[in-house]
Amino acid sequence: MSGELSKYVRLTNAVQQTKSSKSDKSQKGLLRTWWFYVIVAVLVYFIAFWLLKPIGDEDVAGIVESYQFIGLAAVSTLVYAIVAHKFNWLSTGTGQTMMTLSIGYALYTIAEASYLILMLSTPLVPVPSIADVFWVSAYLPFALALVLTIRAIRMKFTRLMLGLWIILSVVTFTVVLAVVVVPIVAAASGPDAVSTIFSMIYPFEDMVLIVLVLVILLKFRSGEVAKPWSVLILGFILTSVGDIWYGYAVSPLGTYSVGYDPVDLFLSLGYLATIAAGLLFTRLYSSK
Amino acid sequence: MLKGLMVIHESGTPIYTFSTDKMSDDRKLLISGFLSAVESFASGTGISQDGGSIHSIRLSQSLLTFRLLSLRNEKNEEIQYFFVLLTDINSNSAPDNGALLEYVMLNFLSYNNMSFRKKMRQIGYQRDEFLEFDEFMNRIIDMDWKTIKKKIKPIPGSLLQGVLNEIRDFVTLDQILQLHPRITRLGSSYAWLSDELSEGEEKELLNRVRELITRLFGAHLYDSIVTNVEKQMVKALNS
Repeated sequence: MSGELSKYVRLTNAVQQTKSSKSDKSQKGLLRTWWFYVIVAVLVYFIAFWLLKPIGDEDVAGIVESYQFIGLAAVSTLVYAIVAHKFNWLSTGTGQTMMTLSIGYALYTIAEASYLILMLSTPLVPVPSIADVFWVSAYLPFALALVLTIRAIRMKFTRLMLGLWIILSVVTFTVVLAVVVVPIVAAASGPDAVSTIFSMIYPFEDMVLIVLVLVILLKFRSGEVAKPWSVLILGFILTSVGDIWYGYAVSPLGTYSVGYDPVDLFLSLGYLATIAAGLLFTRLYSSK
Repeated sequence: MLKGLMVIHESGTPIYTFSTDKMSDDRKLLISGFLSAVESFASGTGISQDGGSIHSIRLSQSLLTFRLLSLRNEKNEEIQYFFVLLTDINSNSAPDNGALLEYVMLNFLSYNNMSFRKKMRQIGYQRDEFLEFDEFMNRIIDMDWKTIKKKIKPIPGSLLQGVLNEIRDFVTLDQILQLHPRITRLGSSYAWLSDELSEGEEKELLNRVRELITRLFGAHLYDSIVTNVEKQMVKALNS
């Protein structure tokens, strides 16, 4: 029995070594997954939608976009719930992280749905609205999820990585602060002051998330798990760009339109990256 | 609220019973025989949903939660034990009972430097040999599940088992089970070695764990996990 076991262990070891020696395996594997093509197709659709503007009426286009946002947020919720399920929900560290992320995206889904209802029922959606309450509060579970992961990683930063993290965090903070302060100062005495200040909360929250994800990414940089975390950080960056742009578009530029606004393209791509990251997590934690 | 724990050999003999109510030996035997018969009936007839063992039975205000543990004895024959947790329905929500029982099982098997696991694998053992677990049960009896998780950490009986407990936070249970054919599920939460491994096999398995963790998370996580387990073991020895 012991001999058979050793044989089994040696055989599976050999299989694993063969697998890991093929450096292009993960790329090939990714191209074989059906969802990769779905993500690419949705990406092409979004770019085409914003460039070609297929719906003539901008208000109708805005409603279509709103439905798309609800769908994207709902899929994000589902994908992270699936990863949490793989980890037996809240009984493990990663399960808690993924479930908390899923709760954050569930709040986003409610926010998107509330925004659609407001769009359909009022001529001009106020800022802040009830939807903003859900959007802003979703950052709490997001941050909690990341803090839970950081706490679970007991390994310390090397000096080099700590230095890199501090530099990247300072750069992120400076960029966000620089671009966010301008519209706030510009609108400080105007009638849009409240809405501008409120819309600028988002980039600050995005910044906190980016800085937290950087800790995870830098600690796991040489592992396969760095890939989904990188894609997730890309999602947060795209969302942050969309949020900053939104702050400018609301005031001082006043250019924000309900349909085909580039702000919404960035936010859609942010969601798409989030979903892709979640799917990469499910693939990584697949037992096959 | 936790009301009791029973560990029953597949023959129906209780090897350990803890109850907040006083029970005579005859009553313990009667109850364990009944529970073992119910469990065997459910798994034998395929009544239970997953074709495996029964998960819980509701009796008026009490809930009996079951988990099955397979071990191999000295003759390399499979032996099964039923762990049955008795809880009060009113004060303890049902979904937590499975996790609570699995946690208690893990502590039972790791108890006293894994001596219980060794005894359970032996063919002849005395029922009284597990009585010292009362000390653990008395500690947790008045705690809720959250407090138990926070205050009582399972003491790893070996470096390997400690590492298996810790990597649950980073990889799925299915991924852990694929590491070795003798790693089995302990309920839905934990992985457990069904029997003893030789020193060489244990080393080989630890290497496989290292490879998996390093591939997924980079170079240093595995070492930090091992260091943490070693700390837990030293702390347990000192206390």
